[in-house]
Amino acid sequence: MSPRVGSTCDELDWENWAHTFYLSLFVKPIEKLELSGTVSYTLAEAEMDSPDFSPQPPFIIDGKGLAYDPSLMNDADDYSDLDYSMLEVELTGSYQITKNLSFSVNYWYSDFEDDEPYVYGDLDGEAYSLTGFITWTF
Amino acid sequence: MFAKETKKFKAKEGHMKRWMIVALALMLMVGLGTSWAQEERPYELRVSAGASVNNYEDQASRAAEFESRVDKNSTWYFSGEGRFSEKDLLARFYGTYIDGEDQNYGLKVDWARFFSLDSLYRRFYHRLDHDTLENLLAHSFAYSGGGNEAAPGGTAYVSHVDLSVGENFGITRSEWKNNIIFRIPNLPGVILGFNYRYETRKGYDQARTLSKCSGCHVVGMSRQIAEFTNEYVPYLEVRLGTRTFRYSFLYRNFGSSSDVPFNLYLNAEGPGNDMGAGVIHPNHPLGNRLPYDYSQGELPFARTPDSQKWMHDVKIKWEPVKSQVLNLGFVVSESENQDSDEGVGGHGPLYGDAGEELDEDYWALNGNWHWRISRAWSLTLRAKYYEIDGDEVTLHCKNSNGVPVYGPITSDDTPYDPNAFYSCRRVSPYDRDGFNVSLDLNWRYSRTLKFRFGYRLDYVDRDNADEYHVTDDTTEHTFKLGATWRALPNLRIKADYRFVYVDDPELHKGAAAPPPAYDPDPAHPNPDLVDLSRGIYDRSNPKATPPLWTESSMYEYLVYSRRSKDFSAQPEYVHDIKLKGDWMINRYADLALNVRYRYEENTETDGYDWEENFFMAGLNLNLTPWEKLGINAGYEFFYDEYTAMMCSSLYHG
Repeated sequence: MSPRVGSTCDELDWENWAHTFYLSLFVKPIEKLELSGTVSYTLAEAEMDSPDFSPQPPFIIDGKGLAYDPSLMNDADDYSDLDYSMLEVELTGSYQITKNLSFSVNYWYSDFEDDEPYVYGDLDGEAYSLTGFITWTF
Repeated sequence: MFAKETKKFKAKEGHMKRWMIVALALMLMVGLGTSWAQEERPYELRVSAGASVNNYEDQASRAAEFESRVDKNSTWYFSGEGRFSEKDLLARFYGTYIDGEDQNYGLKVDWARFFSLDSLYRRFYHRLDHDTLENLLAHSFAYSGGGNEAAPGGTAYVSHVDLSVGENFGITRSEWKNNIIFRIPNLPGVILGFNYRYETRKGYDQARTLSKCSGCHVVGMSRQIAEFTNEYVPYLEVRLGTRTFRYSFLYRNFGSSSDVPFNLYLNAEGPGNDMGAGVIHPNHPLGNRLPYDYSQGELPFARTPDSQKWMHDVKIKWEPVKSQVLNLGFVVSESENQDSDEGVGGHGPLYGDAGEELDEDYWALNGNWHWRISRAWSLTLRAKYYEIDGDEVTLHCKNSNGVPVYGPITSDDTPYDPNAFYSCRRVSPYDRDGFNVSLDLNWRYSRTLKFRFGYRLDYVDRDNADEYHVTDDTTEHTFKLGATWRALPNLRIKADYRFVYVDDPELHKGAAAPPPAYDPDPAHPNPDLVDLSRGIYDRSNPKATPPLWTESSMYEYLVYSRRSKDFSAQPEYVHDIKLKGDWMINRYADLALNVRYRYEENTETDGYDWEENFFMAGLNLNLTPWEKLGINAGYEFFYDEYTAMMCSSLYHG
C-alpha cells in the first residue's frame, strides 16, 4: 500500500441567467368576434467554472495502479452547463353565433429546446393542443 | 411496470367514459331547462362542450410539464359556470374538465348568512424528470476515459445503474378543500367553522440510493407513489366588541400505500463476493458489516413514513382604541412518525425500524401591537418565542436473525472484531429555541413622500449543535429603510434597502479538507505533515508519539476527525436593494419597472469568502389604444452568481 491522505480544493463560481419576453394581445374587431393571444419566450443558461485541481500520481494498491486523480475532474463543469429555451404560444378566438350561443377555438403550442443535456438527458420536445367548443348561455 | 401502466390507462378510460355520460346528461338537462331558465331569471347558467386534438414529439416532460392531455390524440372538453338564488339561498359554481388528469371545480353556497360553504377541487398531472445518472461520470477515476468503466488497473470505478431506463415519471395530484361556517342567529359575533382538506398524490417517481462508498455505486429505480393527506380544522371565533377570540384545532393524517423500493447493496462488489465467479462467501470477516450488508438480501429505501400532526392555535385580538390593535397568539403542535417502529421486510434499523414512534414538539408565543400615533406616524412592534423538541433514538443494528451487524466498514484488511457491535444514538438536528423582536415605523412626511424604517432581531440556539458540527447560536440583525415618492401625479417611485448582519451564521464545522498526511517531497520534509509509515495505531493510546496507524484508525483519525475547513451557504452580510416605478404615461398607456439587487457574503468560511450576487429586473408595458384592443408586453431578466468551494479528498478509495 502506498497511503495518501489529504484534500485539494478550488474556489468555483456558478452563474445562472435567464431572459423572458412576453406579449399578450386582446382585440374585438367586430361585435361578435373576440381574439386573444399570448406569446412567451424564455432563454436560460447556467455554467460552472472549471475546477483546476493539480494532478496526483497514481498509487499502488494490491499491486495494481489506481488512477485516483482529482485533476481528472477538471472538465467536470461540462456536466453542469445548462442551456434551455422555451417558446409558448396560446391563441383563442370566440365568435358569438347568437345571443346565447358562441363558438370558440383555442390553440396552445409549446417548444422546449435543451442544448446542454445534463442530468435528465436531452429534454427537447414540442407539444400542441387544438380545442374547439360551443358555449350556451342561459 | 407495463401492467401497472396498462391498468392505469384502462382506469383513465373508464373514468373518462363516466365523465362523458355525465356531460351528455348535463347538456340534455340544459337543453330541456332552457324554457325553465328563461322563466326563472334568478337562475343563470353557461355551459361549454367541445373536443381537442393533441400531440407531442420527443420529450413532453418540459414542453408540456403540466399538460396531461397531450398524451392522448383527442380529448373532450367541458366547462360551465352558474348562479342560483332563491330567497335566502345563494349558490355559485364553476367547473372545467379537460381530461381525467386535468379538472377544476368550485362551489359556493350561502343560506341566510347562517350557513356558508366554499368548496374547491382541482386535479392535475405533473411530469417529473428522469435522472440518467450519467453525470456521475464526472468523477476522479474514469472521466478521462470517457465512460462508465474501470480505471487503469481495473481496481475502482464509479458505477451507476438505472433500473428504469426509458420510463417516464409523473404524479397526479388532487386536492379537495372545504370551508364550512355556521353563524348562530341568537349569538351575533360567534362563528363555528370547519376546514377540511383531502389531498392525494398518485403516480411514479424515481428513487435513488447509494452505498457507503457513495459515488462508487448509485442505483436508480422507479417508485410507485400512492399517498393521501386528510386535514381537519374545526374552529371557533367570538367577537365581543373590541375583542376577538379565535381557537382552532388541526389534525392532519398522512398515509402512504406506495410500494417501497428495495435494493441489494453492493451485491457485485461486496467483500464476500468472489467477483467474476459470482460466489458469495457468507463467512467472510466483513460479510456482515453494515455498509456491505448484502447478506440481509434486499433492503428497503426511500420510504415515506405515515405521520400525524396535532396543533392547537389560540389568537386574541384587542382594539382598545381606534388607533391601536393588539394581537396575541399561542401555538402548540406535535408531529409523529408512525412508521419509525415498523420495519419493511424485516426488523431493525436496516429495515427502517428505529424501535419507537418518533415525535417532534413545537410551541410558540407571538404578538404584535400596531399604533397609529398620528396622521403622519405609525408604529408596529412584533415579538415571538418558540421551541422545537424532537425525540432521541438509539439504533441497534442486528440482522434478520438477531445477530448484531458490525461496522462501519473501513478497509478490507481490518481484523474481524466480534465485540464491535454497531449502535448509535441520534438526536434531532431541529432541536432549538429562538426568538425575534421587530419594530417598524412609518412616517408620512408629506402627501407625496413617505418613509419606512425597521429593525428586527432574530436569535436561535441549536441544542444539538455539537453532534452535528454546526454553529451553536446565531444572532441576526436586520435594518430596513424605504421610501415611496409620488414624484409626479402620474409617476410613483418606491425604493427599499435592507441590511442584514449575522453574528456567527450557521456553518458546518470541519466540513472538508483534512490536511495532507504524507509528504509528497521527502527531500523537503514538512513538520505539519504526518508520516504514515510509523507503524500500528493503538486505540487505547490515540495520542502516542509518534502516532501509529492501521488503515481503519488512519481514516478515522486522519480523515474524518481532521477535516479542517468550515463551510457555509448562509450569509454573514446581506445588502438588498429594491426599486419599483409606475408611470402612467397617458390614458392609453402605463409602464412599470422593477429592479432588485442583492449581495450576500460570508467571511467566516475557511479558505475563501462565500458570496452571492443576485440581480433581477423587469419591464412591463400596458397599452389600450382602443377600448376593443389591449396589449401587454414585458421583459424579465434574472441573474445569479454563486461562489462555492469544491473539494476532493485524496485517499485511496
